[in-house]
Formats: sequence, structure tokens, C-alpha cells
Amino acid sequence: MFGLPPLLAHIAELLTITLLVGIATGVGLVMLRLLRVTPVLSLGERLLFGTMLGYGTMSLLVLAVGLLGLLYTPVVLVILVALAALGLPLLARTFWEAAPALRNAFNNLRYLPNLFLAIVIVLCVAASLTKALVPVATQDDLMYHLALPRRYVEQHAINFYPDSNYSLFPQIMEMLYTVGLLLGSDRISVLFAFTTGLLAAASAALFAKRLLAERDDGHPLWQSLPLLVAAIFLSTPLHGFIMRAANTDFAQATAEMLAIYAFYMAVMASPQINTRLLVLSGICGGLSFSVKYYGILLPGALGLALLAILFTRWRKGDPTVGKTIASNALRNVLAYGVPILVIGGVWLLRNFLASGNPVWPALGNILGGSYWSPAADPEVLLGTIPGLKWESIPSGLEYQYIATLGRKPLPIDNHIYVVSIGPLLITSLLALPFARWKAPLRLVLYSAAFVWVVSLFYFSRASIRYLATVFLLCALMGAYGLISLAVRSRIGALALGSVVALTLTLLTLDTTLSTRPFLSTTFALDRAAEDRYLDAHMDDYPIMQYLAVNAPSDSVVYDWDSRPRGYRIPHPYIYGRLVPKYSGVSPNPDEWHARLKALGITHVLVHNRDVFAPGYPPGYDPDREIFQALANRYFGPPLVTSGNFTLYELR
Amino acid sequence: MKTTLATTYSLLLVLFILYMLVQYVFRWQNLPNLIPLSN
Repeated sequence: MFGLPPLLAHIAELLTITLLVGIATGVGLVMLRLLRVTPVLSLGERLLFGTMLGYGTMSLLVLAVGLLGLLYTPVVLVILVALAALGLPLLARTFWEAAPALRNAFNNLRYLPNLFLAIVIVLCVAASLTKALVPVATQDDLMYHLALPRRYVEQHAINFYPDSNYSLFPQIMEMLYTVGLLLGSDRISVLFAFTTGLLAAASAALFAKRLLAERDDGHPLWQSLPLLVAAIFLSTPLHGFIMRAANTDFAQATAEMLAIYAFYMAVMASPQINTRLLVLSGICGGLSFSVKYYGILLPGALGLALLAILFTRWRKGDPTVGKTIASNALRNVLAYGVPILVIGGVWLLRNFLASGNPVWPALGNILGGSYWSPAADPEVLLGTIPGLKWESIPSGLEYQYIATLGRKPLPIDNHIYVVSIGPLLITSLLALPFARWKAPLRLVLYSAAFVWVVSLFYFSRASIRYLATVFLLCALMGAYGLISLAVRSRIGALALGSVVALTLTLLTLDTTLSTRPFLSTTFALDRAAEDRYLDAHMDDYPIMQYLAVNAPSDSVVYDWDSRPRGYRIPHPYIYGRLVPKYSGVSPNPDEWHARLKALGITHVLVHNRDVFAPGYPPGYDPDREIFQALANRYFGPPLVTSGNFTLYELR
Repeated sequence: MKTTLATTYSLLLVLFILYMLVQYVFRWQNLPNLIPLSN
């Protein structure tokens, strides 16, 4: 950032993200006040819901500016200043009010288990932060999370890029990442994602504090419940791995957790439905969809639950109550549904106008859309869905077992990452039989079970990160179960407390030690350290350097890879494989070549590896032979090779 | 009676968590990685 040495740049980036989060929170607080839900929310809840709402507002404004073709740094700065003017006064007043609560929180650290859990949380967060601040070199960031924002910034507009099948996914987080790039640092973008990991942990912890902590037995361990939820979640190795990159999984988990949170308080906390909180839940559901297409599933399930609850209350209540419920039913359904439809509709409308398919590239066989044909489906490399059949259950379970508990550390980007869910997250659920099965716990369990079962059928061929919401809810339930069991006997408390403390200590130690390969880059005072890092951890980096130095300025690169990485290509580029019809993939090399020339392609970057298409056998490559025919006829000799990547000139 | 049950269950859970912890610490000898991870 600003050409500073890495360490100083990171200080500037951390200050910037703090300011940006402050602006978002301030705007969100104003929105909560407009919704008139402020009186029923605690201070922590206001800050939490406020931040998520502020992120949504900021993102939709960036989307609007981008669609208008006004994506320039000064324009975004003006928006940020306007948002700051709107929200910061209220945020300042809220902080003034927060002083006693903060003092109280620090006093709570005198209780030893709380102090221990706070240390675990701080160390795990610091470790993830250390990994997040190295130069961006992670697959999905290079492929689309940051590659698309880079294209937006370069074009000063948010356009449809039909070579990338991610181009029309809902992108609320990518809008924030665009702000980071416009402010001159992709680390700000990564830090936006990082904050959503913290928000996810905080949302589950606050839910536990408000709705699950039992104080009637007077056991002091209950005051550790919120911190235990956060500690279990943040010390899970997979979560540290996710938080190092500009992923979107925790943004979705946060939005879904908050949708559940507001839904419970609106509908289940009292016999009278709080319509305004229902609107808040709907907004969070809309934001969840705005992160990822399948973020609609849980809000959709909550919508069905709302209908079921209204119906049950109408049938069971006495005639007067039934009449009130019936007369308010439509209002309540609309209060929940309209925000989802409006916020989600923004993305659907944009996609329809851009491609003719509101959920492009999904459902192309029904809805069609740009560059879709049965023979060249842009969904192929996104992976197949096993579908609603019984065989999907055992195969899904096997996948989940391997990915969560049975996975050994993985070499990724020349690092060794522990990406399992560790020894505590799922195991602690075994304590639940001794928990009091109250309504908030049941809602959390049903929500987790719903996402989990759906994932068995639909997402078991994708990344285990797609279960982020389930894992967050597991941390919540597991912590509640552990304390519920521990408070029942002194020996139990001692034994469980010791083993949980031991496990968290080892996890934290492991996480802290795993930062070693990152320290020399994150804390460097020499800018060359970042180049060295990229050289060591990005196999195709030498090719990027070659292109920067040797390729003419009007070069266009054709990236032939099943998981292409465009973010660091120093010239315009076209992804070859993701939307085959767009880039002209054809059994006729002459036709294909003519299309490449029409696209201005001058170079071809080939990644020789087993194609990774979830759901297909490893190495399944439908285009191997026709690509070879194209290469034989039109490629020049290799210009440069690095790892499995080779660059050719296109004749 | 309930306390005895809770204590016994706690101790069993402690053993299971310890088992999982040992598995985690000695993870290098774990099952082979069969499915590639998209990060």
C-alpha cells in the first residue's frame, strides 16, 4: 500500500480496515434505528447487525456505481465520506455508551476460564491475521474473488465477463474487495473477508450469551459460554485456513447466523411476532443470498418455518388469537420475504439483463442464457451435483468424513496447511444429550441439520468450506453442550475442563507455530520480501514476470486451465475453459483459432495438470485432444516454463 | 443418580476427545487424502 515496506503497509491497511468497518457499522446503526429495532437489541447485537447491514449498504452502492461505469477512486471516496458523515456520529455515541460494557468485559477476564479462552482467541486471530497479510497467492482469490474486482477497477465499470463462469455470481463481498483495490491494497480486500470470520464468531457467541447461557443454576461456568463458542470456532484449523484469503464463506455464515438470530427473536422469543425484527432477519437472508447463490437455502428454509409457525399458532390458538394471527400473517410473511426478494432481486435482475439468465451460469438447461449450450455447459468445471438419490448419502458422508476428520495436512501453494476441523468441533456435540433442549437450541440444530443434509446431496462434490455455517452452528451447540454437561458434576467439570483446555492449548500452539513460514514476509521491512514470497508460493509467478517484461503492451493471454488464475497476469486475459462457447473451444482448430484471433489473443498460458472438476474422475478432461490439435497447428515454441505452467505464443 | 450418569458420561467424552486429540497430533499418519481441496 502506497509503496510502503510490508510491515508499515500492513499497519496502514489495518488502520484503513478499522476505519472502513467503523463507517459500515455506523451506517448499519442508522439503518437499525430506521427499522426501529434498536431498543430490543443489546449493544453487542447492534454493533454486529449494524456491521453486516453496513457491509451490505456499502457493497450495493459500489455495485450501483460500477454498473453506471463510475468506478473511480474519487467517486468511491466520496461515497465513503458520505457514509461516514451519516454513520460515525451515531457510532461515536454508541461507543460512549459502550464504555461501561467494555469495563465489565475486562472485569470478566478475572475469571480464569475466561482469561484462558480470551488468550486462545487472541492468538488464533493473530495467527490468521499473520497469514492473511502476505501477498495474495491463493487459488480462488487469483481466479475470481480478486480477479473480477481487478477487472472492474481497470475498466472503471462492473461488466459481464463471459469467459469467467463466476462473473455473474452474487458478489456482495467482491464489491468490498473492489473498494480495497481502489484504495490501493488487495490486503484491505483480504481483511474485509478476515473481519467476516470475526463477525461469524461474534454472532454465534452473542446468540449463546443472550439465548442459551443459563444463569438459574448459578454455576460460574455459564459466563464462559460466549468465549468458548468463539474459541472453538476460531481455533478450528480449517477456519484459520479460510480466514487467510478473500473467501466469502464466513460472510455467508455470518449473514445466515444473523438471519437465524433475528428470526428467533422475531418469531419464537414471544407469542407476539415482532415484525420489525422479521424484516431484519429477511435483510440478513437477502445478504446471505448476495454472498453466494446457495445462500438462499437457509433463508428459504426459515421462510417455510415461518409459514409453519403461523399455521400452527393459528390452528392451536383460541379464535380471537387465531384471528389476530391470520390478519397479521400476510404482513409478517411480506416483512420477511420482501427484503430477501428485493436484495436478491438486484443480482437476479442484473444477471438477466447481462446474460438472459437470472442465475447464470446455473440452470442453463432450463433458462439458457449467454454462451450456454448442452454441449458446452459453463457449469461443467464448477462440478456436478450428485442429485436426490440415496447413493448420495453414503458418498456425501464419506466425503465429509475425509474432508473434516480424516484429512492429513495438505500441501497448497508450497505451504503445508492443516485443513481438518480438528478434534473438538464435532466431538463436543456428543455432550448435547445433557443439554436443556430449549427453543433457541432446537432452531440452531434444525438449521444446522438442514444445511448439512442439503450439503450431502448437493455440495458433497464441492469444497468442505461450503459447510461454514454448519461448523459455526456446531461451535455454538458444542460449547453449550460441554458446559451443560460440565455443570452437572464437579468431577465432570474438572475432567472436561482439563481436556478442553488441553485441546485448545494444543490447537492454539499448533496454529501459532504454523505462522512461521509467513513471519518473514508479513513483518518484513524490505519490499523484496513480497516478491520472494510470490516466487516461492506461486508456481506461475515467473511467467507473470516474463509477461510483464517481455510481452508487448497490447498482449492478450489465453489462460488454458480448469482453475485459471488471472489476478496477477499483467495483461488483459481470457479464461479458456470455464465458458467454452465464449472462447470458441471447437473440434475444428481453424475455427477455434479464428475466434482466438478475434478476441485479440497473442499468448497462451497452459497449465499441464489433472483437470479438477468436482464430481468427475480426477483427470477427466473432455477437451484434451482437441486442444492438442490446436496447439500442434498454431502454437509457437514454449516461451517460458515454470512448474506445470508453460507460456506459448499464438501464431 | 443423575449426577453419577453425568460424571460417567463426562469421563467417557473426555476419553473420546483425548482419542481425537491423539489422532490430530499424529495426523501425519492419518488416512490418505483422497479428495483434492479447492481453496
